Amino acid sequence: MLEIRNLTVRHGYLQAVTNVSLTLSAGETVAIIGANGAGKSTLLRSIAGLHRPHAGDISFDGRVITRLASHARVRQGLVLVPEGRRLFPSLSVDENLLIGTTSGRPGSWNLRRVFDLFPWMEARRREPTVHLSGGEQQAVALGRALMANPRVLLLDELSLGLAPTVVRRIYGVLPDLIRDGIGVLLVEQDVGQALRVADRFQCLLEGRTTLEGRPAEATPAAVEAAYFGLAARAGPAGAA
Amino acid sequence: MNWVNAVIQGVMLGGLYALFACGLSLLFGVVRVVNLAHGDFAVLAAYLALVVITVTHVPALLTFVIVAPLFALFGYGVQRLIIQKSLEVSPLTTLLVTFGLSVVIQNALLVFASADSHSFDLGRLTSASLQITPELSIAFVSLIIFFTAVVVLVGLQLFLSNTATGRSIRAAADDQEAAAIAGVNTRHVFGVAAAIAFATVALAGLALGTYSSFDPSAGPPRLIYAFEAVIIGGVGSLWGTLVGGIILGVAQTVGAQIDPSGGVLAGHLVFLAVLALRPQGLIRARLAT
Repeated sequence: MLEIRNLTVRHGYLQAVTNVSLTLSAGETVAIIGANGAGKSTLLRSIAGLHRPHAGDISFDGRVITRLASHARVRQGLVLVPEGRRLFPSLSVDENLLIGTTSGRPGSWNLRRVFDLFPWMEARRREPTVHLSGGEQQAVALGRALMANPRVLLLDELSLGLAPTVVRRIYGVLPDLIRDGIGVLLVEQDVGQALRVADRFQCLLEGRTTLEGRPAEATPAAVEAAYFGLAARAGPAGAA
Repeated sequence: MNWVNAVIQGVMLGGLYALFACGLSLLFGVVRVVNLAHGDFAVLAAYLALVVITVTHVPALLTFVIVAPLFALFGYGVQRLIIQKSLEVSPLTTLLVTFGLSVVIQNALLVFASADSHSFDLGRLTSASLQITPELSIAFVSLIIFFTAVVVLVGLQLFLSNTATGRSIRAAADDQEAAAIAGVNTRHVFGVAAAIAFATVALAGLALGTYSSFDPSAGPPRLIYAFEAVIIGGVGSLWGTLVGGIILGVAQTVGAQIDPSGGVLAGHLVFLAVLALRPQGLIRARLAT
């Protein structure tokens, strides 16, 4: 469904992502792991249309969307839950959710269904989001994305700054979404969390893919080597 | 009674200033653009109304029906074609670009319309007034302008708070990038905000031509008053803009009551006092809360 071919993204002179390719099918969860500055967020933001790639293509359902504006990608069903949640402070909880429908596709998601998913939200729907805890804000950010009836969810660092129990609760809603056929591409610093939920993973180091595969088939040592770049130092063949 | 009169006339004048400040406040609050050509666009709208009156012979009071929508379209175009481009370069560029527009408009008006000053003839309405006591009366023209300002500001507040477009405008004002990934076409939304701002600036230009007179160089002083109203009231608050306009108007008329040539100075002094003592403005609020 989502296909990225040889993507290269630069920030000025800095090459953040180099020649990365990736595919994602409906109902599949793919995790991007890697250290700080490995290019994970840049990759996700490029897919959402926030960075213009230097080279390479992004296609969705066989259509090249590399030059499409962010809101037009939302209309196709490609929706990012950004790092740091990025809620709108002057909007109430339900106004934040409703913004998700602006370019959304028709579908089964509406305020009712989001409130069913996060029952605490309905009683606090008129409050400004600054009154909410970090975990609650993350739930609103996820709800805002779901209101667009996405076909692919891009999740950027869902767990950042949240307590482990809160992280488990947020990740707990993913299986239901995947059963509906939503594809999930997630970026996580918490490698354990990422590998628990993912069907496949891809490890980035300094903007390049150093390891990809299924979590069950990858040994912790291989992941560690790819994550820290130990394999690259031992020899290029080690990375495969 | 002279003092009461000065305050009441000041409140009325404040309506005119608030009408001027409304578009400036909106454009700054949403698009983060300080439009230095704001006053000149108002004067341009007044000239457009003169043309409309000459061509169609509609009464001056009704020209807004034609001029405001035309200016809304014009505003959308200016935002999408000129301001958006300069925004993507740097904030300083937008200042230079709007300053350039200001110079261009003033000189183009001088060339095509001469330096003569004009005002709108409302017939009998020009001198009609509401007699409250034998010594106290309010001109109908002032009342019309004041209520227009209140209706525009209240209407805009309701629009921003209660419609889907208003919600998108507030979201884009909060966080442009987050709005884009949530599905908001931010360039279009900025265009819509500019269209609204330009429609209000057109009303302000018509109000200026009815309240007093205008000539090609009448824009910049209006920009200063509009700025002062926005700052006194608090940036980003439409209620604050109304309050700021009224305070500025009252300061000017009461100042003129103390010393006939001290009105404008009194307004500036109140503005400086607010800037020194309460730089965030009297009413601190986000856009439409």
